[in-house]
Amino acid sequence: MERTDTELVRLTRQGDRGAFQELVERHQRKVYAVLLGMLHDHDAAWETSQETFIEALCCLDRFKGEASFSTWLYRIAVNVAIDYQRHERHPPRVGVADTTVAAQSREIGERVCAAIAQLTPEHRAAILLREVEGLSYEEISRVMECAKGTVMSRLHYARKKLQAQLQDCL
Amino acid sequence: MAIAARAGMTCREVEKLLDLFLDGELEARTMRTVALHVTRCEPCEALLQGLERLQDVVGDTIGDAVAEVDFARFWPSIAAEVDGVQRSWRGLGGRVRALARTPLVIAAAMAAALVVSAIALWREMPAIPPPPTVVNNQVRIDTLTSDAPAVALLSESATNTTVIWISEEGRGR
Amino acid sequence: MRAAARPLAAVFLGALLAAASAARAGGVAVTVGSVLATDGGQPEFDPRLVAMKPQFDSLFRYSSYRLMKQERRVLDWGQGASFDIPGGRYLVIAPKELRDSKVSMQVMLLEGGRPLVDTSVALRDHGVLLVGGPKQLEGVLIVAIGADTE
Ligand SMILES: [Zn+2]
Repeated sequence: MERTDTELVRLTRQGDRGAFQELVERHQRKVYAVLLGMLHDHDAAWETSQETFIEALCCLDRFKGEASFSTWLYRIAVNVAIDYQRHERHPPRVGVADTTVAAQSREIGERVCAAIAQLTPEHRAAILLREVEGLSYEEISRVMECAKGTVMSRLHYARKKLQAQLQDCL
Repeated sequence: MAIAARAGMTCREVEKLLDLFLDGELEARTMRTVALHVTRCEPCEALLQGLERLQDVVGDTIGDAVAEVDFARFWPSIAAEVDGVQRSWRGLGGRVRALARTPLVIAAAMAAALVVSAIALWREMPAIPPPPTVVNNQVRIDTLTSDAPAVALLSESATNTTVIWISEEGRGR
Repeated sequence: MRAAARPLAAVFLGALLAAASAARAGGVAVTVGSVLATDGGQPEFDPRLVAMKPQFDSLFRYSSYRLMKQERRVLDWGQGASFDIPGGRYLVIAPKELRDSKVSMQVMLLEGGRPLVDTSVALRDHGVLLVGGPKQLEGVLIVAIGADTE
Protein backbone atom coordinates (compact mmCIF):
# COMPACT_ATOMS: atom_id res chain seq x y z
CA MET A 1 0.00 0.00 0.00
CA GLU A 2 1.34 3.39 -0.90
CA ARG A 3 2.21 5.54 2.04
CA THR A 4 0.79 9.04 2.18
CA ASP A 5 2.96 12.14 2.03
CA THR A 6 1.97 12.99 5.57
CA GLU A 7 3.15 9.61 6.77
CA LEU A 8 6.43 9.92 4.87
CA VAL A 9 6.98 13.36 6.35
CA ARG A 10 6.47 11.97 9.82
CA LEU A 11 8.93 9.15 9.19
CA THR A 12 11.48 11.53 7.69
CA ARG A 13 11.27 13.62 10.83
CA GLN A 14 12.13 10.53 12.79
CA GLY A 15 15.24 10.09 10.72
CA ASP A 16 13.98 7.62 8.14
CA ARG A 17 16.12 8.28 5.11
CA GLY A 18 14.16 5.95 2.88
CA ALA A 19 11.00 7.91 3.59
CA PHE A 20 12.62 11.11 2.46
CA GLN A 21 13.90 9.40 -0.64
CA GLU A 22 10.36 8.30 -1.41
CA LEU A 23 9.12 11.86 -1.02
CA VAL A 24 11.83 13.15 -3.31
CA GLU A 25 11.17 10.56 -5.96
CA ARG A 26 7.47 11.11 -5.77
CA HIS A 27 7.68 14.86 -6.31
CA GLN A 28 10.91 15.41 -8.24
CA ARG A 29 9.34 15.69 -11.67
CA LYS A 30 6.65 18.11 -10.60
CA VAL A 31 9.12 20.33 -8.82
CA TYR A 32 11.50 20.14 -11.74
CA ALA A 33 8.74 21.07 -14.19
CA VAL A 34 7.87 24.24 -12.31
CA LEU A 35 11.51 25.22 -12.00
CA LEU A 36 12.21 24.48 -15.62
CA GLY A 37 9.30 26.70 -16.55
CA MET A 38 10.50 29.39 -14.18
CA LEU A 39 14.16 29.32 -15.19
CA HIS A 40 14.15 27.97 -18.75
CA ASP A 41 17.33 26.07 -18.32
CA HIS A 42 17.85 22.43 -17.48
CA ASP A 43 20.98 22.94 -15.42
CA ALA A 44 19.36 25.69 -13.41
CA ALA A 45 16.22 23.60 -12.97
CA TRP A 46 18.27 20.66 -11.76
CA GLU A 47 20.26 22.74 -9.33
CA THR A 48 17.25 24.54 -7.91
CA SER A 49 15.19 21.35 -7.69
CA GLN A 50 17.91 19.84 -5.57
CA GLU A 51 18.01 22.97 -3.48
CA THR A 52 14.25 22.83 -3.07
CA PHE A 53 14.35 19.36 -1.56
CA ILE A 54 17.32 20.11 0.64
CA GLU A 55 15.57 23.20 1.86
CA ALA A 56 12.41 21.21 2.43
CA LEU A 57 14.37 18.75 4.51
CA CYS A 58 16.03 21.53 6.44
CA CYS A 59 12.78 23.17 7.43
CA LEU A 60 10.60 20.10 7.57
CA ASP A 61 9.81 20.94 11.16
CA ARG A 62 7.99 23.99 9.84
CA PHE A 63 5.68 21.97 7.71
CA LYS A 64 2.55 22.00 9.79
CA GLY A 65 0.36 20.12 7.42
CA GLU A 66 -2.31 22.78 6.88
CA ALA A 67 -1.51 22.65 3.21
CA SER A 68 -0.58 19.49 1.38
CA PHE A 69 3.07 18.55 1.23
CA SER A 70 3.22 19.24 -2.50
CA THR A 71 1.74 22.71 -2.06
CA TRP A 72 4.35 23.41 0.56
CA LEU A 73 7.06 22.06 -1.71
CA TYR A 74 5.91 24.22 -4.62
CA ARG A 75 6.09 27.22 -2.37
CA ILE A 76 9.71 26.47 -1.59
CA ALA A 77 10.43 25.82 -5.26
CA VAL A 78 8.92 29.11 -6.40
CA ASN A 79 10.85 31.00 -3.74
CA VAL A 80 14.05 29.23 -4.66
CA ALA A 81 13.52 30.12 -8.32
CA ILE A 82 12.76 33.76 -7.61
CA ASP A 83 15.73 33.91 -5.31
CA TYR A 84 17.95 32.20 -7.83
CA GLN A 85 17.17 34.72 -10.50
CA ARG A 86 17.37 37.71 -8.26
CA HIS A 87 20.50 36.56 -6.57
CA GLU A 88 22.54 35.15 -9.36
CA ARG A 89 21.13 37.72 -11.72
CA HIS A 90 20.41 35.08 -14.24
CA PRO A 91 17.96 36.46 -16.72
CA PRO A 92 15.48 33.81 -17.72
CA ARG A 93 17.08 31.84 -20.47
CA VAL A 94 15.33 30.45 -23.46
CA GLY A 95 15.93 27.13 -25.05
CA VAL A 96 14.21 24.51 -22.98
CA ALA A 97 12.77 23.00 -26.10
CA ASP A 98 16.20 22.26 -27.54
CA THR A 99 15.71 18.68 -26.58
CA THR A 100 12.29 18.11 -28.09
CA VAL A 101 12.18 15.83 -31.03
CA ALA A 102 10.28 17.35 -33.89
CA ALA A 103 11.62 20.53 -35.36
CA GLN A 104 8.21 22.06 -35.60
CA SER A 105 7.30 21.42 -32.02
CA ARG A 106 10.76 22.61 -31.10
CA GLU A 107 10.08 25.91 -32.70
CA ILE A 108 6.77 26.25 -30.92
CA GLY A 109 8.38 25.13 -27.70
CA GLU A 110 11.04 27.77 -27.99
CA ARG A 111 8.49 30.44 -28.65
CA VAL A 112 6.41 29.32 -25.71
CA CYS A 113 9.45 29.42 -23.47
CA ALA A 114 10.43 32.82 -24.75
CA ALA A 115 6.95 34.11 -24.08
CA ILE A 116 6.88 32.66 -20.56
CA ALA A 117 10.28 34.17 -19.89
CA GLN A 118 8.85 37.62 -20.57
CA LEU A 119 6.41 37.34 -17.70
CA THR A 120 7.21 38.50 -14.21
CA PRO A 121 8.16 35.69 -11.79
CA GLU A 122 4.76 35.96 -10.13
CA HIS A 123 2.86 35.64 -13.37
CA ARG A 124 5.16 32.89 -14.51
CA ALA A 125 4.70 30.91 -11.34
CA ALA A 126 0.92 31.30 -11.48
CA ILE A 127 0.64 30.13 -15.06
CA LEU A 128 2.98 27.17 -14.53
CA LEU A 129 1.27 26.00 -11.39
CA ARG A 130 -2.03 26.15 -13.23
CA GLU A 131 -1.24 24.95 -16.76
CA VAL A 132 1.53 22.50 -15.99
CA GLU A 133 0.71 21.27 -12.52
CA GLY A 134 -3.04 21.71 -12.64
CA LEU A 135 -3.31 23.31 -9.23
CA SER A 136 -6.57 24.93 -8.17
CA TYR A 137 -6.73 28.65 -7.44
CA GLU A 138 -6.97 27.83 -3.77
CA GLU A 139 -3.78 25.78 -3.96
CA ILE A 140 -1.96 28.39 -5.99
CA SER A 141 -2.93 31.04 -3.48
CA ARG A 142 -1.42 28.90 -0.74
CA VAL A 143 1.75 28.30 -2.72
CA MET A 144 2.16 31.94 -3.54
CA GLU A 145 0.82 33.21 -0.25
CA CYS A 146 -1.61 35.60 -1.86
CA ALA A 147 -5.37 35.99 -2.15
CA LYS A 148 -7.40 33.88 -4.56
CA GLY A 149 -8.42 37.06 -6.35
CA THR A 150 -4.77 37.81 -6.97
CA VAL A 151 -4.28 34.36 -8.47
CA MET A 152 -7.24 34.99 -10.73
CA SER A 153 -5.95 38.28 -11.99
CA ARG A 154 -2.39 36.99 -12.39
CA LEU A 155 -3.61 34.08 -14.45
CA HIS A 156 -5.83 36.27 -16.55
CA TYR A 157 -3.04 38.72 -17.23
CA ALA A 158 -0.47 36.01 -17.93
CA ARG A 159 -2.77 34.27 -20.38
CA LYS A 160 -3.58 37.48 -22.22
CA LYS A 161 0.07 38.26 -22.51
CA LEU A 162 1.02 34.77 -23.69
CA GLN A 163 -1.81 34.70 -26.19
CA ALA A 164 -0.73 38.02 -27.62
CA GLN A 165 2.81 36.77 -28.07
CA LEU A 166 1.86 33.40 -29.44
CA GLN A 167 -1.03 34.59 -31.54
CA ASP A 168 0.09 32.97 -34.77
CA CYS A 169 0.95 29.57 -33.40
CA LEU A 170 -2.07 28.93 -31.21
CA MET B 1 -25.57 34.12 -32.06
CA ALA B 2 -25.02 36.01 -28.91
CA ILE B 3 -28.74 36.43 -28.71
CA ALA B 4 -29.38 32.75 -29.18
CA ALA B 5 -26.99 31.97 -26.37
CA ARG B 6 -28.31 34.49 -23.96
CA ALA B 7 -29.46 32.17 -21.25
CA GLY B 8 -29.15 34.95 -18.73
CA MET B 9 -25.62 36.09 -19.70
CA THR B 10 -24.13 38.39 -22.29
CA CYS B 11 -20.98 37.60 -24.25
CA ARG B 12 -19.13 40.21 -22.26
CA GLU B 13 -20.15 38.59 -19.00
CA VAL B 14 -19.19 35.18 -20.29
CA GLU B 15 -15.86 36.40 -21.58
CA LYS B 16 -14.87 37.48 -18.10
CA LEU B 17 -15.66 34.06 -16.76
CA LEU B 18 -13.87 31.98 -19.36
CA ASP B 19 -10.63 31.66 -17.38
CA LEU B 20 -12.56 30.47 -14.37
CA PHE B 21 -14.68 28.19 -16.51
CA LEU B 22 -11.63 26.55 -18.04
CA ASP B 23 -10.04 26.17 -14.62
CA GLY B 24 -13.17 24.69 -13.08
CA GLU B 25 -13.36 27.47 -10.55
CA LEU B 26 -17.01 28.42 -11.03
CA GLU B 27 -19.83 27.18 -8.93
CA ALA B 28 -21.95 24.54 -10.61
CA ARG B 29 -24.80 26.74 -11.77
CA THR B 30 -22.62 29.38 -13.36
CA MET B 31 -20.53 26.63 -14.88
CA ARG B 32 -23.61 25.26 -16.63
CA THR B 33 -24.70 28.66 -17.83
CA VAL B 34 -21.30 29.41 -19.33
CA ALA B 35 -21.12 25.96 -20.90
CA LEU B 36 -24.49 26.45 -22.48
CA HIS B 37 -23.52 29.86 -23.80
CA VAL B 38 -20.27 28.63 -25.26
CA THR B 39 -21.86 25.76 -27.13
CA ARG B 40 -24.18 28.18 -28.83
CA CYS B 41 -21.93 31.19 -29.37
CA GLU B 42 -19.08 30.95 -31.84
CA PRO B 43 -17.04 33.98 -30.74
CA CYS B 44 -17.07 32.84 -27.12
CA GLU B 45 -16.33 29.28 -28.16
CA ALA B 46 -13.32 30.52 -30.14
CA LEU B 47 -12.06 32.42 -27.12
CA LEU B 48 -12.37 29.36 -24.96
CA GLN B 49 -10.58 27.23 -27.51
CA GLY B 50 -7.78 29.77 -27.56
CA LEU B 51 -7.38 29.38 -23.82
CA GLU B 52 -7.46 25.60 -24.14
CA ARG B 53 -4.77 25.62 -26.81
CA LEU B 54 -2.60 27.84 -24.68
CA GLN B 55 -3.01 25.44 -21.79
CA ASP B 56 -2.07 22.51 -24.02
CA VAL B 57 0.92 24.14 -25.57
CA VAL B 58 2.36 25.34 -22.25
CA GLY B 59 1.69 22.00 -20.60
CA ASP B 60 3.15 20.02 -23.51
CA THR B 61 6.25 22.16 -23.89
CA ILE B 62 7.24 21.81 -20.27
CA GLY B 63 5.96 18.25 -20.04
CA ASP B 64 8.00 17.11 -23.05
CA ALA B 65 11.12 18.80 -21.78
CA VAL B 66 10.79 17.17 -18.37
CA ALA B 67 10.02 13.78 -19.90
CA GLU B 68 13.46 13.71 -21.46
CA VAL B 69 15.26 14.30 -18.19
CA ASP B 70 16.89 11.29 -16.58
CA PHE B 71 16.23 11.45 -12.86
CA ALA B 72 18.39 8.46 -11.99
CA ARG B 73 21.00 10.67 -10.36
CA PHE B 74 18.57 13.02 -8.71
CA TRP B 75 18.15 11.36 -5.35
CA PRO B 76 21.74 10.11 -5.12
CA SER B 77 23.10 13.61 -5.41
CA ILE B 78 20.64 14.95 -2.84
CA ALA B 79 21.59 12.10 -0.54
CA ALA B 80 25.27 12.81 -1.02
CA GLU B 81 24.75 16.43 -0.23
CA VAL B 82 22.64 16.16 2.88
CA ASP B 83 24.68 13.28 4.11
CA GLY B 84 28.19 14.26 3.28
CA VAL B 85 28.39 17.82 4.43
CA GLN B 86 27.29 17.11 7.91
CA ARG B 87 29.29 13.98 8.42
CA SER B 88 32.65 15.08 7.22
CA TRP B 89 32.52 18.49 8.78
CA ARG B 90 31.76 17.03 12.14
CA GLY B 91 34.38 17.14 14.78
CA LEU B 92 35.70 20.52 13.80
CA GLY B 93 34.44 22.58 16.65
CA GLY B 94 36.07 25.23 18.79
CA ARG B 95 37.75 28.49 18.01
CA VAL B 96 41.06 29.89 16.89
CA ARG B 97 42.65 33.25 16.30
CA ALA B 98 42.72 35.12 13.05
CA LEU B 99 44.74 34.16 10.06
CA ALA B 100 44.81 35.64 6.63
CA ARG B 101 44.67 34.51 3.11
CA THR B 102 48.06 34.27 1.53
CA PRO B 103 51.01 32.27 2.78
CA LEU B 104 53.06 35.32 3.60
CA VAL B 105 50.32 37.02 5.50
CA ILE B 106 49.46 33.76 7.10
CA ALA B 107 53.01 33.44 8.33
CA ALA B 108 52.91 36.95 9.73
CA ALA B 109 49.62 36.40 11.41
CA MET B 110 50.85 33.21 12.94
CA ALA B 111 53.94 34.84 14.32
CA ALA B 112 51.81 37.49 15.89
CA ALA B 113 49.09 35.36 17.27
CA LEU B 114 51.11 32.32 18.21
CA VAL B 115 48.01 30.26 18.18
CA VAL B 116 48.68 28.63 14.90
CA SER B 117 51.85 26.81 14.12
CA ALA B 118 53.20 26.94 10.63
CA ILE B 119 54.79 23.67 9.87
CA ALA B 120 56.28 24.67 6.59
CA LEU B 121 56.35 27.54 4.21
CA TRP B 122 58.41 27.18 1.15
CA ARG B 123 58.59 29.02 -2.10
CA GLU B 124 59.63 28.18 -5.60
CA MET B 125 60.29 24.63 -4.78
CA PRO B 126 58.15 22.75 -7.18
CA ALA B 127 58.41 19.01 -7.02
CA ILE B 128 60.80 18.98 -4.10
CA PRO B 129 59.13 17.20 -1.24
CA PRO B 130 59.46 18.60 2.24
CA PRO B 131 60.54 16.21 4.96
CA PRO B 132 57.77 14.00 6.27
CA THR B 133 55.90 15.95 8.84
CA VAL B 134 53.56 15.06 11.58
CA VAL B 135 51.12 17.89 11.66
CA ASN B 136 48.82 17.01 14.50
CA ASN B 137 46.75 14.13 15.69
CA GLN B 138 44.11 14.87 13.08
CA VAL B 139 46.16 14.96 9.92
CA ARG B 140 49.64 13.77 9.15
CA ILE B 141 51.37 14.94 5.99
CA ASP B 142 53.94 12.43 4.86
CA THR B 143 55.03 14.00 1.62
CA LEU B 144 53.94 17.03 -0.28
CA THR B 145 55.01 18.34 -3.64
CA SER B 146 53.60 21.15 -5.68
CA ASP B 147 53.95 22.83 -8.99
CA ALA B 148 52.57 26.06 -7.55
CA PRO B 149 54.87 29.01 -6.84
CA ALA B 150 54.26 28.84 -3.12
CA VAL B 151 52.71 26.46 -0.70
CA ALA B 152 51.98 26.90 2.96
CA LEU B 153 51.11 24.18 5.35
CA LEU B 154 49.13 25.38 8.31
CA SER B 155 47.98 23.65 11.35
CA GLU B 156 45.80 25.18 13.95
CA SER B 157 46.13 23.14 17.08
CA ALA B 158 43.00 24.05 18.99
CA THR B 159 40.74 22.59 16.36
CA ASN B 160 43.20 20.32 14.63
CA THR B 161 42.51 22.01 11.36
CA THR B 162 45.11 21.52 8.68
CA VAL B 163 45.33 23.63 5.58
CA ILE B 164 47.51 23.27 2.53
CA TRP B 165 47.52 26.70 1.00
CA ILE B 166 48.64 27.26 -2.57
CA SER B 167 49.61 30.67 -3.78
CA GLU B 168 49.39 31.19 -7.48
CA GLU B 169 50.89 34.68 -7.23
CA GLY B 170 53.90 35.15 -9.43
CA ARG B 171 52.52 32.97 -12.13
CA GLY B 172 50.90 35.80 -13.96
CA ARG B 173 47.49 34.28 -13.60
CA MET C 1 11.29 31.80 4.52
CA ARG C 2 14.71 30.85 3.29
CA ALA C 3 16.78 33.07 5.48
CA ALA C 4 14.93 32.11 8.61
CA ALA C 5 15.00 28.42 7.90
CA ARG C 6 18.67 28.09 7.24
CA PRO C 7 20.33 28.20 10.65
CA LEU C 8 18.37 25.08 11.51
CA ALA C 9 19.86 23.20 8.63
CA ALA C 10 22.97 21.66 10.08
CA VAL C 11 21.50 20.78 13.41
CA PHE C 12 18.56 19.16 11.83
CA LEU C 13 20.41 17.29 9.14
CA GLY C 14 22.83 15.97 11.65
CA ALA C 15 20.17 14.56 13.86
CA LEU C 16 18.24 13.29 10.94
CA LEU C 17 20.66 11.63 8.65
CA ALA C 18 23.61 10.72 10.80
CA ALA C 19 22.15 7.26 11.02
CA ALA C 20 23.08 5.89 7.65
CA SER C 21 26.60 5.44 6.51
CA ALA C 22 27.48 4.41 3.03
CA ALA C 23 30.87 3.29 4.20
CA ARG C 24 29.64 0.41 6.29
CA ALA C 25 30.43 -1.96 3.51
CA GLY C 26 34.13 -1.81 4.33
CA GLY C 27 35.56 0.88 2.08
CA VAL C 28 36.24 4.46 2.95
CA ALA C 29 33.79 7.25 2.31
CA VAL C 30 35.56 10.26 0.89
CA THR C 31 33.83 13.61 0.82
CA VAL C 32 35.12 16.48 -1.22
CA GLY C 33 33.55 19.89 -0.83
CA SER C 34 34.55 22.84 -2.97
CA VAL C 35 34.00 26.14 -1.27
CA LEU C 36 34.19 29.49 -2.98
CA ALA C 37 35.52 32.14 -0.64
CA THR C 38 35.09 35.72 -1.78
CA ASP C 39 35.62 39.17 -0.47
CA GLY C 40 33.59 42.31 -0.82
CA GLY C 41 29.87 42.50 -1.32
CA GLN C 42 27.29 41.39 1.14
CA PRO C 43 28.76 38.89 3.62
CA GLU C 44 27.16 35.53 3.11
CA PHE C 45 27.69 32.16 4.66
CA ASP C 46 26.34 29.08 2.99
CA PRO C 47 24.22 27.35 5.62
CA ARG C 48 25.42 23.96 4.45
CA LEU C 49 28.83 24.85 5.75
CA VAL C 50 27.61 25.99 9.10
CA ALA C 51 29.57 23.35 10.97
CA MET C 52 32.78 24.80 9.55
CA LYS C 53 32.01 28.42 10.20
CA PRO C 54 34.29 28.78 13.22
CA GLN C 55 37.20 27.38 11.27
CA PHE C 56 36.65 29.58 8.27
CA ASP C 57 36.04 32.66 10.35
CA SER C 58 39.21 32.18 12.30
CA LEU C 59 41.48 30.86 9.59
CA PHE C 60 40.55 33.13 6.73
CA ARG C 61 39.28 36.59 6.22
CA TYR C 62 36.84 36.28 3.42
CA SER C 63 33.44 37.80 3.73
CA SER C 64 31.50 35.07 1.96
CA TYR C 65 31.68 31.32 1.71
CA ARG C 66 29.62 29.26 -0.62
CA LEU C 67 29.63 25.53 -1.16
CA MET C 68 29.91 25.18 -4.92
CA LYS C 69 30.04 21.48 -5.13
CA GLN C 70 29.97 18.54 -2.85
CA GLU C 71 30.64 14.96 -3.70
CA ARG C 72 30.77 11.91 -1.54
CA ARG C 73 31.94 8.56 -2.75
CA VAL C 74 32.73 5.28 -1.17
CA LEU C 75 36.07 4.00 -2.35
CA ASP C 76 37.71 0.67 -1.93
CA TRP C 77 41.17 0.53 -0.43
CA GLY C 78 43.71 0.91 -3.19
CA GLN C 79 41.12 2.25 -5.58
CA GLY C 80 41.65 5.76 -6.90
CA ALA C 81 38.92 8.16 -7.84
CA SER C 82 38.77 11.50 -9.52
CA PHE C 83 36.59 14.31 -8.25
CA ASP C 84 35.80 17.30 -10.41
CA ILE C 85 36.65 20.60 -8.82
CA PRO C 86 35.35 23.92 -10.14
CA GLY C 87 37.60 25.74 -12.54
CA GLY C 88 38.38 22.67 -14.61
CA ARG C 89 40.51 21.24 -11.82
CA TYR C 90 40.28 17.79 -10.46
CA LEU C 91 41.27 15.96 -7.39
CA VAL C 92 42.56 12.41 -7.47
CA ILE C 93 42.25 10.53 -4.23
CA ALA C 94 43.53 7.04 -3.59
CA PRO C 95 42.99 5.66 -0.09
CA LYS C 96 45.79 3.32 0.87
CA GLU C 97 45.17 1.91 4.29
CA LEU C 98 43.64 2.43 7.66
CA ARG C 99 46.21 2.40 10.41
CA ASP C 100 45.96 3.71 13.97
CA SER C 101 42.52 5.10 13.15
CA LYS C 102 44.00 7.17 10.37
CA VAL C 103 43.11 6.89 6.74
CA SER C 104 46.24 7.29 4.70
CA MET C 105 45.77 8.37 1.15
CA GLN C 106 47.36 10.01 -1.81
CA VAL C 107 45.73 13.30 -2.71
CA MET C 108 46.49 15.16 -5.90
CA LEU C 109 44.92 18.42 -6.96
CA LEU C 110 45.52 18.96 -10.64
CA GLU C 111 44.94 21.86 -12.95
CA GLY C 112 45.32 20.64 -16.46
CA GLY C 113 48.36 18.41 -16.19
CA ARG C 114 49.88 20.53 -13.45
CA PRO C 115 49.85 19.18 -9.93
CA LEU C 116 48.98 22.03 -7.59
CA VAL C 117 49.29 19.61 -4.74
CA ASP C 118 50.52 16.07 -4.59
CA THR C 119 50.53 14.82 -1.09
CA SER C 120 50.51 11.70 0.93
CA VAL C 121 48.42 12.28 4.01
CA ALA C 122 46.98 10.37 6.89
CA LEU C 123 43.64 11.72 8.00
CA ARG C 124 42.08 10.74 11.25
CA ASP C 125 38.78 9.04 10.75
CA HIS C 126 36.28 11.89 10.26
CA GLY C 127 39.13 14.33 9.98
CA VAL C 128 39.17 17.07 7.39
CA LEU C 129 42.03 18.44 5.36
CA LEU C 130 41.66 21.79 3.66
CA VAL C 131 43.41 22.61 0.44
CA GLY C 132 42.99 26.23 -0.54
CA GLY C 133 44.33 29.02 -2.63
CA PRO C 134 43.54 28.41 -6.30
CA LYS C 135 41.81 31.41 -7.80
CA GLN C 136 38.23 30.91 -8.75
CA LEU C 137 35.90 33.52 -10.18
CA GLU C 138 36.19 36.55 -7.91
CA GLY C 139 37.66 34.63 -5.06
CA VAL C 140 39.57 31.55 -4.11
CA LEU C 141 38.70 27.95 -3.82
CA ILE C 142 38.96 26.03 -0.59
CA VAL C 143 38.61 22.29 -1.01
CA ALA C 144 37.68 20.31 2.04
CA ILE C 145 38.55 16.64 1.98
CA GLY C 146 37.12 14.31 4.55
CA ALA C 147 37.27 10.58 5.06
CA ASP C 148 35.37 8.22 7.28
CA THR C 149 35.23 4.51 7.58
CA GLU C 150 32.46 3.76 10.07
ZN1 LIG D 1 -20.84 34.74 -26.52
